[in-house]
Amino acid sequence: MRTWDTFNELVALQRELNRALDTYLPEHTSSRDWPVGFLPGKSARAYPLINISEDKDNFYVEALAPGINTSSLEINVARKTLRISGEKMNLNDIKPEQIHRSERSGGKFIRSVELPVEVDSNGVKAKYSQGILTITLPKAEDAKPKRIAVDVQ
Amino acid sequence: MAEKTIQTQTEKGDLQKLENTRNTEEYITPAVDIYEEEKGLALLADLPGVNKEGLDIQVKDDILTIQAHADYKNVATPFYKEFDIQHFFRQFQLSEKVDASKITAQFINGVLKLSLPKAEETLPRKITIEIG
Repeated sequence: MRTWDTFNELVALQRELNRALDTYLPEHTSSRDWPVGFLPGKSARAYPLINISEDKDNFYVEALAPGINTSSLEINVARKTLRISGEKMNLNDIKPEQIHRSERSGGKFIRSVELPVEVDSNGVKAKYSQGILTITLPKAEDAKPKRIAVDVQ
Repeated sequence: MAEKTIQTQTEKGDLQKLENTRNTEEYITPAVDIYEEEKGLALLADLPGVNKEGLDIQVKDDILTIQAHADYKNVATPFYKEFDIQHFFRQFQLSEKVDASKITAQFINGVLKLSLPKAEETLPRKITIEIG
């Protein structure tokens, strides 16, 4: 006998809707990029926020992450996917009764970003300054546009 | 004839309205943590994209003003955008117990830490009792 579980039903419905949206929307706006959940928790909001820009040779991913414990920061690249993980320092060492105001949340985070083309994982560089993490990802040779000379006869 | 000049008044202890002074730039309110330390208060503020030169911290009439100008530029042609860095502005009313002359600031990885020590006379003092 199966029992009715409302939350399971809602999660299933959400999955169904996401799948429907995925087929409708263009690649970059897939519903996976909308971190909306029926049971929003701390992780429901994508963290860190990112900006992506590109030029001919590279992608530049900038993550807005002030106050990160730099030793915890980890960046992985596999094919098209970039994964950023780390930990933002929080007020854990401070007793709750000492805290007047706590607006900056902290804790561990992980975020994956899918790039439009494959990147050369050996050439990835990362820089962390002024609370912004900038990752430079060179595009893979195969992905770069090639100029084909036309022989005119 | 009626007086047409409007006198501007800044009462002591009034939080200034930013609208009066700001130019066309947009400002956002940074998130802060405030907690007690042994000798006073500590304030942490997230100010990403700001460098040390763009930071302006002032205390006037028991009002602490944190103003920060971000110098953020797009690295290349943007194609996906989730955040935009703007200037930061926030004011706090200090209690008179804070010794404004001894405020110190640290700025590491986009996080500003202000230490606001309490004035000497408000720190707890141990009084020894002589039993006669």
